[in-house]
Amino acid sequence: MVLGRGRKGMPTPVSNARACLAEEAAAALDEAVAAARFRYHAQTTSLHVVYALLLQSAGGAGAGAGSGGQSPSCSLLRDALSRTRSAACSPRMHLKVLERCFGMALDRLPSSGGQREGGGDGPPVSNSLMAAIKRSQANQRRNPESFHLYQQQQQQNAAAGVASTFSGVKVEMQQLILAILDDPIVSRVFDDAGFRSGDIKLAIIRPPPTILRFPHAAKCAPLFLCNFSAGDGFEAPISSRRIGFPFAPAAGQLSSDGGDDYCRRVGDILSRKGITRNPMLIGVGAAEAGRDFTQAIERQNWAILPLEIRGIELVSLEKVVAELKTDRCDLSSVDARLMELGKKATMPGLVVNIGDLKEIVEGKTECDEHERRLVSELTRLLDVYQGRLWVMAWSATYETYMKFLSRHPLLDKDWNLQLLPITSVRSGMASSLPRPRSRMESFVPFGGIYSTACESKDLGSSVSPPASRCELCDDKYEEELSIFLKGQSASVYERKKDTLPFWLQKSSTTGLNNEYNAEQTKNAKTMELEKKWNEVCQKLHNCRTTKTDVYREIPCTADTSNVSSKNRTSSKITEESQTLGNSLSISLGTQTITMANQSVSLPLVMESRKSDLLSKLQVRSSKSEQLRGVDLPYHQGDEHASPSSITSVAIDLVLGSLPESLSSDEKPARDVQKSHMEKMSSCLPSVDTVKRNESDVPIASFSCSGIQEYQAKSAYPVHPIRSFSQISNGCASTYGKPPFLISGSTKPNIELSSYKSFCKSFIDKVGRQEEAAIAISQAIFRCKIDERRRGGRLRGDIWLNFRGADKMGKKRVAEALSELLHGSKDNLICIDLSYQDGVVRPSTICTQQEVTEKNVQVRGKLHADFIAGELGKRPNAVVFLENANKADFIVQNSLSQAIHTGKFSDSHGREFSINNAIFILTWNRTIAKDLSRRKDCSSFCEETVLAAQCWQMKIYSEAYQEMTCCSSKSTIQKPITSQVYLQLSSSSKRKANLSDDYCDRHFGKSMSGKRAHTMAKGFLDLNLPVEEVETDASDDDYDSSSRKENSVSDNSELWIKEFCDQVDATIDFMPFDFDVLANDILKDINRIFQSAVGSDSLLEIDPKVMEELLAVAWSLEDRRPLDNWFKQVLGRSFTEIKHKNSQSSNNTLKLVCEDALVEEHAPRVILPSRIILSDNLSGFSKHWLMEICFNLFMKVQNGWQAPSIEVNIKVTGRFSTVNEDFERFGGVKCNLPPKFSKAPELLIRLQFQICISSSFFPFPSPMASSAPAPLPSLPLSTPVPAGSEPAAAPAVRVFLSRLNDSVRRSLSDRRPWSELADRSTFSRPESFSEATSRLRKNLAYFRVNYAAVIAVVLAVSLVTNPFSLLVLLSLLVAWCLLYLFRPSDPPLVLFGRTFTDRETLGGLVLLSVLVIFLTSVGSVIVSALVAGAGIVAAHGAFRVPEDLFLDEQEPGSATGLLSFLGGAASSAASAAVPVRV
Amino acid sequence: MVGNSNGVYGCRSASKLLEILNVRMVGAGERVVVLSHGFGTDQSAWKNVLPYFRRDYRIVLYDLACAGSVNPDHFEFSRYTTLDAYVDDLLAILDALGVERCFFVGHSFSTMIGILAAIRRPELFLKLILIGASPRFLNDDEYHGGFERGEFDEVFAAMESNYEAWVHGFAPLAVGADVPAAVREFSRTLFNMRPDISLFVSRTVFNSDLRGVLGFVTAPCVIIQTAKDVSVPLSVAFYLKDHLGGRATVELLPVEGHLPHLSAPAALVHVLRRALAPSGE
Repeated sequence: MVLGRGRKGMPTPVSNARACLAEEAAAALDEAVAAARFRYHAQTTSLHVVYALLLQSAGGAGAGAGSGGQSPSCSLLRDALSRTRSAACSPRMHLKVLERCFGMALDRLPSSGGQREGGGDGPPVSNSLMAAIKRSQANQRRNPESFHLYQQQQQQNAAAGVASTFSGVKVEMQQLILAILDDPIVSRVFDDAGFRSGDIKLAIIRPPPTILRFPHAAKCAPLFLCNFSAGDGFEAPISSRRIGFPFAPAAGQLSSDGGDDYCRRVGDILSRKGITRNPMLIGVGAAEAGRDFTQAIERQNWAILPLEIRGIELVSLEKVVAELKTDRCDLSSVDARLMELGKKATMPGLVVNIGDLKEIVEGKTECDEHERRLVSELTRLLDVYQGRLWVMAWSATYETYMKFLSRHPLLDKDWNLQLLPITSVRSGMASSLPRPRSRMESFVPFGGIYSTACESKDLGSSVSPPASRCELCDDKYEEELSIFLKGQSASVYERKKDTLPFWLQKSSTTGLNNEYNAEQTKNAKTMELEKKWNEVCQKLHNCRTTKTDVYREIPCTADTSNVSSKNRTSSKITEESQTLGNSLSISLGTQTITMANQSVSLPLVMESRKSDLLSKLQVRSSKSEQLRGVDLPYHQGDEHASPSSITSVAIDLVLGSLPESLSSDEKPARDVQKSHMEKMSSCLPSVDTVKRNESDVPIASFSCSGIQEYQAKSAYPVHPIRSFSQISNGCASTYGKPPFLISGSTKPNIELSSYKSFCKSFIDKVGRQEEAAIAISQAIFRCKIDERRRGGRLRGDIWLNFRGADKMGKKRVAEALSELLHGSKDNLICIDLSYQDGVVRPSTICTQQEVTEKNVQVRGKLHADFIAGELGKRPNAVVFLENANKADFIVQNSLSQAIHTGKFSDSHGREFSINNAIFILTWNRTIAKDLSRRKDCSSFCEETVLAAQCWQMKIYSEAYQEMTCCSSKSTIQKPITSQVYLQLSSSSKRKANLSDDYCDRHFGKSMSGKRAHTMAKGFLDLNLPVEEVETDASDDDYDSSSRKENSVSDNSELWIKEFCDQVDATIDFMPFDFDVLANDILKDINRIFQSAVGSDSLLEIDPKVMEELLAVAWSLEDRRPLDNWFKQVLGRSFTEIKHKNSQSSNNTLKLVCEDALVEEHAPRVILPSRIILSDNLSGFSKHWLMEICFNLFMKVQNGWQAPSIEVNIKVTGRFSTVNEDFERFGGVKCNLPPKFSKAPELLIRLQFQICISSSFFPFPSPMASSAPAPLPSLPLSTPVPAGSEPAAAPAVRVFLSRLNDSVRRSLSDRRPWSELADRSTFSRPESFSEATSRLRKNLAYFRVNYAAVIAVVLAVSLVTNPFSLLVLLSLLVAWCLLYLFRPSDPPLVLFGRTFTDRETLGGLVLLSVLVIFLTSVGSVIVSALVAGAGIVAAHGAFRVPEDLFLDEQEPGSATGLLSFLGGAASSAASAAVPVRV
Repeated sequence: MVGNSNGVYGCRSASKLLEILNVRMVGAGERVVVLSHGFGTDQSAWKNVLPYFRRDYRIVLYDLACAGSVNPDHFEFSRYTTLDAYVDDLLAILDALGVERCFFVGHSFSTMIGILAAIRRPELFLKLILIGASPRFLNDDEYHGGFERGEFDEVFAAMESNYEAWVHGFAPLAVGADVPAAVREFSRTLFNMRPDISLFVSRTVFNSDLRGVLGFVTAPCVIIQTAKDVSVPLSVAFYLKDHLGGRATVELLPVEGHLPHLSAPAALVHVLRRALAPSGE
């Protein structure tokens, strides 16, 4: 781009230029170079290129002599020319003329006289042509459709180390032509020949016009934007090529937009067979569409109309209608007009255009005689000439139409009006039509489009065959794996891969890899890879079907154990397997076990290897299989019929970590086992066989060796299993596992002891709710020991119902269960079913205590899907479902299905086994019914504690007397004995926040008075949520709505009842005794208070604070963080306040909540990290105000009518932040006193008003829609610069600096002076027109230079006339002092007379005129300007501008010297335009 | 009434249309619900909502012609210049399926289609449920649609210059809430659209103005509006409520974002069910 601007360097060699061009363009350049060489020109210019193109295309079109490959590109130009030419003479002639013109222009160029540069490859490329090439290159690079291509190319170049000077962009022919057409010499020649280069450009950019504009082409298929490539032959090159400016601003010539569409639709209505229909166009764009249609008929543009009505005529009654409005018409003219109509209505038809209904409707309230006459006459005519006469009208809005109809009822029937909504506004439509881009497809990734379709199908059908998908995943996995392992042991396993089935390949890969390489890291990586793919497979392909799944995970687990054993870490798995080995009297050291673990290969793999290893490896493999059991999900539901799955159960027992599997033992099996107890010693061989069996059974079709054995031994598969479990009992107990895990032959005793210990540890963990804990233990044991009755199959899942209060207790129990049964809390899947995703919930302490990360996972997913997904990840889980009564329909379904069949299905029908899961459901509904009422005397109920949020706390002191007067309202719980007591407020409102009380007490009259009679008087209680006004439109009123919904469609109640009957056990929880806890806390605080403050003060604790503390204490597991908080935060605050109030000793301190949420929590506990100490109470907070506004907002929008609401609010605190939030609520206007803006952070009590009138809401009043989004900011946020006295001096400074800036900036835009004075570029203009065109170009290019020249001339002439300079300067000073920079505040006083601004201005103007025209100043200036202009004109005329290019259209050519006057401001404004989307 | 869905452009037969637009009918109920997706998504956007209605309703799912899941070759630039072409498609689909009465659930751009369709064939639609609806996106003297023309030009420029980047920037904005899954899903479907089609359609949408014709809607409407929507200001919902011809109610969802069916399906389902339930009144 820089090249373009007159750098007068050497011309570029042809080869360099060629390098920038694409093939065709390069060929064209070659031609041009040849032409230049032929004429002995020194340089190849743009003229040459165009000339060559013209010649070529003429040859190609005429004799077909042009080289075949280039003809299309030449025809590009030629075609464009043929389309842009004026119709004065025949196209052939015209083109010939053009050619001649170019020939002549070339002849005029100076010849080089034979000296050649550039190494003999022709005359070098001139700077102007090179600039054109660069321009086109830049254009093309910017082009979005090819952007990626170039990026890619660049990357490739970079990768290959190619230093590409041209950054890989090859200029296409079209771009080149466009750029060359910009070249002034070329455009001049075109001008001479009668073409306008601008038109040619447009023609190139744009496809050939539609038939509309060129009726002679009507025979070809209609050309639309998208299908013009299918048109005539010469179109093909254009469309197949990239189109230059895909979004070029087309000047509305292409009219296949909405307008046409609507014309067509109107035509459809007219041509409808049967009853005639008369189109009535309605919509914002209706008038336009109507006009389009009338024009189309007037111009006889039949292409857009259906065949039947071609040839119709149109009569417009718009004028008549307009006259009707003005009452100037008489009846006779209307009659005459209508009679005329009747005559005209001949065969093809006549459309009577009434025009805009607004004309009729507006202006008059009643329809007068004329109008009625007109309408009735039209009705009659319509009736008479049915099928040949139509009426057409339009209206911008529905209202107008309805008004019209109301005046003429039944008219829509009489006229058979057919409404046609016109919804497209055409302004900007034509200019905005993008072109289709032929290469666009390559931009969108291939898979994108079609994969979706596939997925959306998947969505509907329930389960797709998993096998294929898994294979797919597997293939991918293998690909990755092989890439990773390439070059290490590739040869070995890749050979095997071919012969093995897919799931074995993996394992063998891993196994062999381990054996041969024994590289831990690699192994781990393989594992990761595999895990990844397993997950991918699970997620994508839904392959959680039993068999494949089990086997897919084998290597994975084995790898883990392998790693661990190699590391000699005493991981649990290894230990267990060791012990197992010992108890089986197989002397396997750690080493061998490791070996075994490494060779995770299945028997078949072994067989493919050395046969003498076979037996040993079988044992090993079996062992590794056992290991696998640790992590594997079992799907016993289906498999229980087959012995193999029992085997897997046995393995579970061995490892002792899957207690649930106990429960799935079959009773007959146990019996058999008892009888076989003495045969324990023989278990070894049977292990072997059983293992074999197991590994072979699921995929029996493929395993050739194992089947016979399996069949032979399957007669008594139970025996070894039992023996295993026996051993495992021993093992497990030695590991200190909860003994309840052990069951089996010695069942009764062990069970009892294990039960006891389980119960004990359980209660220990929970810490409370002993009864419930015992009940749960019982239930679990019962479930585990009893065979399951549901569905007649063995089941490992347990369903528990938690009823009653103590939400946190339930949660704690669930956590404890998960920890006891599965070793960690990670296996707890916890979800609150009442939680609507995305709904903002108040962040109460109790919920905050939970990890919030999980919420993000839940968001955007259905609950059922989330549960299913988690179950898929962690099959042994404790699923804790809170508020199960709120479960949505899908979760209900899934749960019902799960409790029946043992499979939890998600919303897409995928099923997940829940065989080892424990489901715990809590029900909210029952709380109210039975248990919570038991302790009415309790001062804290669970709901309030649950709702407690982390408010900021505050301590303030109050005079003792005041306290006593207040205490009439409150009952002191522990008055004398303790210094710390709880203030029990009588009011227990929903948000019994202290600010209310405060308000009541101090400013109480007005507010509470209002509140008492809210609805009656038309006031509204802003503290109450909207539900009380109108229930169903409120935001968080899900309870009522769901109840309503339930009664209508869902039978939730029924479901709850049914479901509760089916669960294994229902456990009642006792309500938590908050009073005890509260007393504890009070005691603690008392202790701290006494030590910190001393004995002569009292501390009153607000119940809200207590709730906060209770919530924390309740939800915390241990008290230590809370105790710490007491010590550190509370204690410190007490000491501080003691120091503060040291002079007045017998104060009452109050610990209260402020109505602001705390962002910064104390460590490890959700309580404020500091307590505000204050002398007083700051009443209202942002939060509270927000709530008010929101409530108000909701009320108003629900139709609550009030002329204006005035709320008087005492406000303390800083309000600037609140304003922003007000704006969010649609604009609540605050009239704040100005000094409010200077209010400090706290404790300034101000009276201010919030005026909220319903009209300020953007609905439903007409003002509504006009409210712009960002309201004019309130006085607060933009403090107006108040003082006017310092204004003047800065104004001058600002002006000067801006002037300076802008001069500087403009001067930086100047062209190099050397360019201006380049002697070689001066030549005499041949004609006047040439001179002017040169001048124009030069002016545009050198405008800054010229301005500078003129300024210099002016300055010189002024300096040579010191008198005029003096006069001018004094004039300037007068202006500045008296008008421009004078503050308007003190009016001007001259000679004792006061002048207004206007007078001053007038005087100054008069003075200026006088001075300039009556002295020599005027003549000096004028002559200087004339001289300057003369110089400029002369230079401009003689300077040949051919090598001057404006690189880019500089935005806003007005940025001249004077831009400083307004430019800065506007540019700043434009820069500040927010980018919204 | 009009119903000349394939009059002038009679090239596509009904069954072909069904195939092209991936029309599916699922569910076991009697009453028919048409789910029509919005700009930048396709019918998969309803996947989280779908299971809730499968039992009680027969659900018609289809893709708009501009959706990424429709073969872009079928998108005729000359035809889809106005919303009426989409309306034609919808009505043709319903006719082909033999639907006589149905509920219409539309999202953003589809709400316009639904409104127009309900004007053209009032007897066909029992109720319109409009999620994130707007009759006009551009601001006006009297109307606050949420966008200035200048902003649009910026958006279009952004789409032209780098579609992918625009998608990645736009998707989180549109989804609004912090729901990575929804953002991912919306980006996917948005990116599936061919950029030129996407641009073309958005221009069509922004050039449309339904304000003049809202009064012709006779079917009852439920306007579901989220608390914060980058595309549709809250006032628009109430403008619609005031100007729609039929009985209209506004349901405010206390969630954020323009795509509640992706970001907060459970909350939306609640309201949807309520809206679809046979009215108690």
